[in-house]
Amino acid sequence: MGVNKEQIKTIINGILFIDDPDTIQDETRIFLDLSFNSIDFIDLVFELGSLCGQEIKPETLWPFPKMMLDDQQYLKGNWTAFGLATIQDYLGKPLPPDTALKDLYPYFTLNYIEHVLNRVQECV
Amino acid sequence: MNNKTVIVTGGSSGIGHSIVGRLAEEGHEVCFTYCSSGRAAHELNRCHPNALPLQVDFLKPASFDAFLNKLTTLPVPDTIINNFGVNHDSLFLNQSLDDFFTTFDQNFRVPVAITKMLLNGMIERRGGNIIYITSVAASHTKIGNSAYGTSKASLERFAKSLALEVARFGIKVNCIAPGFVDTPLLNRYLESSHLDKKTLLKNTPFRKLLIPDDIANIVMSLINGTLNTTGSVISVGNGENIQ
Repeated sequence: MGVNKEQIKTIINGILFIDDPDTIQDETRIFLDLSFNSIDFIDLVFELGSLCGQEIKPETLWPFPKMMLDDQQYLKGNWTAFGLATIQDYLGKPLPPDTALKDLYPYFTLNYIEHVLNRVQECV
Repeated sequence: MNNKTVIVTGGSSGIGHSIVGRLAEEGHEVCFTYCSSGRAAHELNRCHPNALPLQVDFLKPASFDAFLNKLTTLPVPDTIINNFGVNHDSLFLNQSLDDFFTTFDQNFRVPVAITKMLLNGMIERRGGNIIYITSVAASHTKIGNSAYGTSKASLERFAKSLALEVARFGIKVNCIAPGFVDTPLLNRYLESSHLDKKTLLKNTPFRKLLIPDDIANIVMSLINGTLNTTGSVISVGNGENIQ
């Protein structure tokens, strides 16, 4: 069963006690503009898993912190070619090798979440 | 009836035995661990068919790993009661690091690892109770209990962090910190410390020891919701626990 942006928005509204349905737009920066914290993120992951009918791991939805622990993808403060390719695959755009984790936070949007969930093939 | 599935570590003697018995009497499905007290464990099971014993030696990595894997095959419990613990009082000055960390690992790493193994299922279910049986030794320092006291203090600190993290998911995390409870563990402590029970009683303000049922009563209150709290360390004693 696929998941659409309205469903994702409903979940996030519930987590953050947001009443105004127009608060979250497609490109709202969920981490930065809504003060979405790590517990909120875990909450979202579990809710999306319930919606998709399968377990979704946190690193599936936001893989970058774990990627930074992998020398194949991130080495000495820079993303490797492999890492950059993975980032582009997730974010849809190329980024410089010295991109910091905090520089990726703006990309965590409704569009991003829908895109990632569509990559999880069983969710399509 | 609101029957629950409960896992109890160290369930064949002392406090654990009392907890398992009470849970089983009230109709809950219990899975409890034992190490060498096989006879007591199977007697408990004979009296309460809904109390299933699982043999595990937490000191042996292979046995512990097998137990953790076994947990993944069981239904996600409503409640985890981390009761298992060891106490080998010894002067740190005379103690090997191996001995120190054996006590610490048994009392801290084991319950933390069990919690980690079962937590995702409880989060997914959005509910549950995690209880750690700690000790007055976590807050009352005395010569010779550095390993035991430190491990219990660490467990209490961990429980509070965990309580904060899982509150969102409807999971309550609490510690019960008993003072002196009349159990085989206490008897071994008295023997190894060359103390006698009479002296202990004389120095306990209420002149009484707790009994295992006193702890089981609090466990039941947490499970059935009559005691509604999370992130708490419930200190229980007859005055020896007063700071």
